[in-house]
Amino acid sequence: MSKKAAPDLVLFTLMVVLLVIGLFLVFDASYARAGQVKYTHGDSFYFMKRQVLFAVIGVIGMFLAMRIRYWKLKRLAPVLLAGAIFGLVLVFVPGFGVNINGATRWISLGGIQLQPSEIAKICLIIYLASVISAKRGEIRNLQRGLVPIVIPAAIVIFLVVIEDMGTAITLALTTLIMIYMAGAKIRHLLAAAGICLVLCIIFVAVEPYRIGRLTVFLDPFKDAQGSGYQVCHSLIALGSGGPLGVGICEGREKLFYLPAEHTDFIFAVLGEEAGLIGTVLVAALFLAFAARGFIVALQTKDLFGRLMAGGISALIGGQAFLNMGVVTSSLPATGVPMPFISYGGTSLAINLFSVGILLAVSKYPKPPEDYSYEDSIDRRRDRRPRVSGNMHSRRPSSRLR
Amino acid sequence: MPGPCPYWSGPAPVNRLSNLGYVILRYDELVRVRIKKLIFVLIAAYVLIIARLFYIQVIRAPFYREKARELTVRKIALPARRGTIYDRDGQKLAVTIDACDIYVQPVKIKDKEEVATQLSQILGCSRTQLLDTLKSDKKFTYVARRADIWIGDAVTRAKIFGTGSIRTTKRVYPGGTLAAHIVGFTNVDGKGIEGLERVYDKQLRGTDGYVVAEVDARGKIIPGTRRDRVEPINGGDIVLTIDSTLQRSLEHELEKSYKAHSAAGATAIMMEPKTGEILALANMPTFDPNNAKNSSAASRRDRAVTDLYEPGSTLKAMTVCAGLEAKAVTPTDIFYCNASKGIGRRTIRCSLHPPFMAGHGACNVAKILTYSCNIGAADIGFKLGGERLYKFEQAFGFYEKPDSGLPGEVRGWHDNWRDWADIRLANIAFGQGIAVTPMQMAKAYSAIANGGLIMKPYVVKEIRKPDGKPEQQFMPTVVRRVMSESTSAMVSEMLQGVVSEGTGKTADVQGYRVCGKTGSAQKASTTGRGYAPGKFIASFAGFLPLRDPRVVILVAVDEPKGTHWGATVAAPVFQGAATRAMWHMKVPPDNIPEAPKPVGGSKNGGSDTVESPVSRHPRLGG
Ligand SMILES: [Zn+2]
Repeated sequence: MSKKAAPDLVLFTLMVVLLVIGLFLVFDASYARAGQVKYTHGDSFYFMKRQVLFAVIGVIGMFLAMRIRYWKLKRLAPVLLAGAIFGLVLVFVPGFGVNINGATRWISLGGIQLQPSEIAKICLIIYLASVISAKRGEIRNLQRGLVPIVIPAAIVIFLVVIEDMGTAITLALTTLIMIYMAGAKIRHLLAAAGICLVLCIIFVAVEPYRIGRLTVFLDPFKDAQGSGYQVCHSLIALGSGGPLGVGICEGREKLFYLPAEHTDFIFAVLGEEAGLIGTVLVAALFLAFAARGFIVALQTKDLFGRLMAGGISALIGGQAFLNMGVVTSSLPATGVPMPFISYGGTSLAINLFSVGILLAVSKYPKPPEDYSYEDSIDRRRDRRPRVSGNMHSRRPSSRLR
Repeated sequence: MPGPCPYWSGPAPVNRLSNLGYVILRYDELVRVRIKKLIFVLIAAYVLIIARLFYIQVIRAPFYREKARELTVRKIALPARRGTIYDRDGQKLAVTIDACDIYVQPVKIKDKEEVATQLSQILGCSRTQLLDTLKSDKKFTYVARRADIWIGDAVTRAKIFGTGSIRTTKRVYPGGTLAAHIVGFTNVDGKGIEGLERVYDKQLRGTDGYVVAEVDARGKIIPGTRRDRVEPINGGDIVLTIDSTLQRSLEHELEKSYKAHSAAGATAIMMEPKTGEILALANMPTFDPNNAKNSSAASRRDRAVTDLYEPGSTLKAMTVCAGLEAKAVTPTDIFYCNASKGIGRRTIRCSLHPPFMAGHGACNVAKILTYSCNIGAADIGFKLGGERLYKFEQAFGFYEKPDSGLPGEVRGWHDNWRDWADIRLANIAFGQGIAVTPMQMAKAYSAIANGGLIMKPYVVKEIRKPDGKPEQQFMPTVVRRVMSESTSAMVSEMLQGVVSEGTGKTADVQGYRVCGKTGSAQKASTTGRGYAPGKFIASFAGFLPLRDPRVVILVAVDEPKGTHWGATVAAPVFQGAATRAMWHMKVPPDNIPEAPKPVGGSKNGGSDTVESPVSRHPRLGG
């Protein structure tokens, strides 16, 4: 039988702290714009209210996810992946897709706008965890293991990359981390990373202007009024904050200087107002969160749960890293939101839901008997040790049942 | 080495891994190890980010703080309000009102078609033109400047992204073309370009103030960030000597003649001879300073001070003054006119009208003026000689700028009298071969009307501080005495004869004894030699009433078609404007038909109806 433990309180606390900081920052960064933009009808709390709404939905989702006997998700994984792909395709269907600021990333369902690429993140993690845990060590085989695992992920990434480079990079990074985690051969990983790189080069070669955009982070002030504008203002915000910050709510850059101040560049607003103290605090919180997530992954005995926990930790820790990398002009500008903090309803709700799954994994360090491969391995080893052999002769599925 | 692992593919996984240094037996442990490695990678990545943050927020902080300061701290001008230009009775000729500029930021606008439709509805302008502007790749451009306030409010209310309005002020000329050449106009930025707007730009403009504060990216001051504030000092007001009523009537009369005779241009000046105050000054063609940029340069020219013309017979009055004052001639001297007179190889002629088809015959000085006898005037010139004629013309101010305070003044041709040949002297005596501006001519006539004292003409009566207190007041200034009072009285009476029985009958104003002289001068040919056939300047200069002249009016019409006589083209303008002036200034009539006073009548009869020369009757209500 599965042993039930208390959910990981450290993770939960870190998440709550980040969420509270995030909700405050969304208000702080957005009230000026919200008071001026037409579609908010002058309501300074417009973005804050919506973010709180999605936070409530997300927290409810988190508590529901915590109650899931998470291994049941394994059977659901193909359905979730199919759903994610369906949602991503729906974006391109006229009548469903919603274009905001020139990018079609949203679908409108009954008046609510959802971002399928955000939903795809958790679906892909669940799918990868499930398929890898089914194939187990076979991932080290290119044709039978790695390629069948990666192809559905590639399809999802391909569908995302068309409209949303940042999310696609997040997904690709998460996928690479998960297959690394799952024991894939290093040369296979290098090859996969190489393919990503080649695709990036092709992506740039198609539209040469993208070279400038990709390299502008090296010296944003060279074109401070053009392609470097956003990053310049991000740096000015961070730098003028200094070690101690200019004071909460006293920021200037959010007053229409810094674009995307409440979404992708909210970290810069924090940096200006709370200084190095604030930025290091938030970075440390993310580091602690991701590290704690990995520890949960280490503690659990179930491979599916372990991979899922590792994947979710990598997703959140990686996204925060990418976001901070862009905001500090250390990485090329790609639209990656900061988990729990950036404005964006779908992202927030899905992130909270993901934390719920992570907490569920922490709740069941030892899943039920029939699911535990640990025992079955031992049994099998006792019964039938293998000196050498070809794994290909045995299907992983046959072992697991 | 532990036992082989059943979960790895490939022939000898254990060996290979052991080569790599792994001590892993089971797949599960491989995953655990990789997760541990990932934790280290994660920590390393975050350490890098924190190091980068430290670099930006501590080491480079002063640099970025300076950048932020450059970005947000602004010195915002607080524009001073431009002063008002009033006429002598306090009517506003130029005022500054609130207005707004409408701007667009084409690069920020996505749906250009929709924005063009909305904006064109608000602004009431062409949609296609707007669309062209919106399709440009400019960051910021105006689509309307100095628009009405309500248009700006409508744009602000529409809240179209990438559009907006900026509060500013606008110069408005309520009278339209009224006194356009005197007042002038400003450019769209409120800088005086022409007329008194230009001359007194400094006084009208005031001193802009400023505020140093932090602004957001939309240029709005962030509350609580004000660092320094210097209030603007508004511009002062200017009060003119112009009387709007007289100005309007003079413009009206001049325009009638200008149009009726399809003239190339026309000028009229109305002055108060005792003070030199310019009561009205009109030029045709004219322009609307509210829309100055769409007017032609010719219509903006203040011909009254910038254009030289040969005055023709109107100058004979100066010749007569000179002759009498210098005692070269006496009123009783008789001159003979046979219609033409040879001087050297050249011949001068008189224009002959019935009943003098064979010349004017025997003329005294008065008759020379009355019938505008060229030969008589030339004879007076010969009696005077070049030097004395030149000196008098100099005294009348023909060789100096009239100094009226209007911009662009020129002076007459200036050459040495010693070089004057006889024919030149004769020509100058009757007003050809000498060029003057209308303002110079009006000034010279006001000397005759003012008992021989020439006054400095002026248009600005007072400059006021923004609070309405006077800063500088301009008083009548005597330039010099040109002739004795008795000479001026004598010539005035002769000039009255011109209107009552001579060539100037069309200038007669009922109830008043009017003095004046017609002129019809040939225009110098544009090729430089000789005169242009058929091109004349018809003029009339005069004043009234005879005993105590209140106004001097000069009218000059350039290239009238059909007729070129001063009497038919210019004198009616004088008559119309003078009638209106007498009525408006409530000047008592001095020429009631029932009891006509003899010419040169008793001084008492004239003086008891005369007011103080400077002050005027206050206007009755309305
Ligand atoms: Zn004659």
